[in-house]
Amino acid sequence: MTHMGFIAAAYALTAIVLSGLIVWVVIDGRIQKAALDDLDKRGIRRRGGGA
Amino acid sequence: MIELANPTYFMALSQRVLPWLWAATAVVIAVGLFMAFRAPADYQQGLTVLIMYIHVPAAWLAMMCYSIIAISALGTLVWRHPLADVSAKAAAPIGAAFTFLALVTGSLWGKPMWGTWWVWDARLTSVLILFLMYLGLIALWRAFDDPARAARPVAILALVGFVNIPIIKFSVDWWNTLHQPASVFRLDGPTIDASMLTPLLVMGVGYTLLFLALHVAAMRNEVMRRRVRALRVKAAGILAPAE
Repeated sequence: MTHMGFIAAAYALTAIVLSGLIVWVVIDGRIQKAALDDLDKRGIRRRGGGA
Repeated sequence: MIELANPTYFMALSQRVLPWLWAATAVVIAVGLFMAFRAPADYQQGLTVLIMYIHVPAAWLAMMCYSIIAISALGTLVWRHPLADVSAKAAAPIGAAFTFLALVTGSLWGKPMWGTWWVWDARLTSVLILFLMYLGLIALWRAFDDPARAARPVAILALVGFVNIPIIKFSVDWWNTLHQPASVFRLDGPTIDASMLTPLLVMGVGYTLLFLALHVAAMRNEVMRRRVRALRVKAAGILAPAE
């Protein structure tokens, strides 16, 4: 009674979803950082000066 | 604590903490998986019990994440703190992902053990409702252009939905369900053998660290997104011709 197919599917799906979450936060972070840097280059920045 | 709730201070502190959080997550999950695959097979379920080490922590995190959203909603409604809404918004997709994993890995565990992928019993149905609540919160946030205007209605919906969390927890005690009753967090102590309980708890800590890392990173992204939006609105105001 090993049911290896079910075990492999559960672990593979978990790996895909959790990796997807990590990739999403990393890419989203880079997009927002690039947008802030672009605004900063155009002289549009917050009163404190930091992004 | 008040200083930590300042977005600028949060950004500075989280930038320093985040690499350590990612590293701790990787180490603890690696140790948890190593222990899980070395743990003995269950005398009834055989190796299929391996699914428990990823299904149960996902279910814990699904509920914990919603509880964090509910606490953040209180922060939005009572203290009107900007980081509270950022916290709730950042947690919602992560909670939805953990709930999705709990549902699907549960189904993959249920088919060989119960003989069915799904039953409309109280535990499974209440977790499905939790998943739909997450999707509803995400949809409501997306319905508003201005995140500041979305904060209050989303917080109210999040608090109303929190009633589902104790229902999920106690559904296996209140109703007859195909899902087994609680076997870890019980008043009379866990009913799982230590050889399986220890890897399960290590995986639980690993998942919690992963959630914290994802949540802090997503909060940082949301703070930056709001700054970008505010700066673009400010720039549009400067560039717009005077009436």
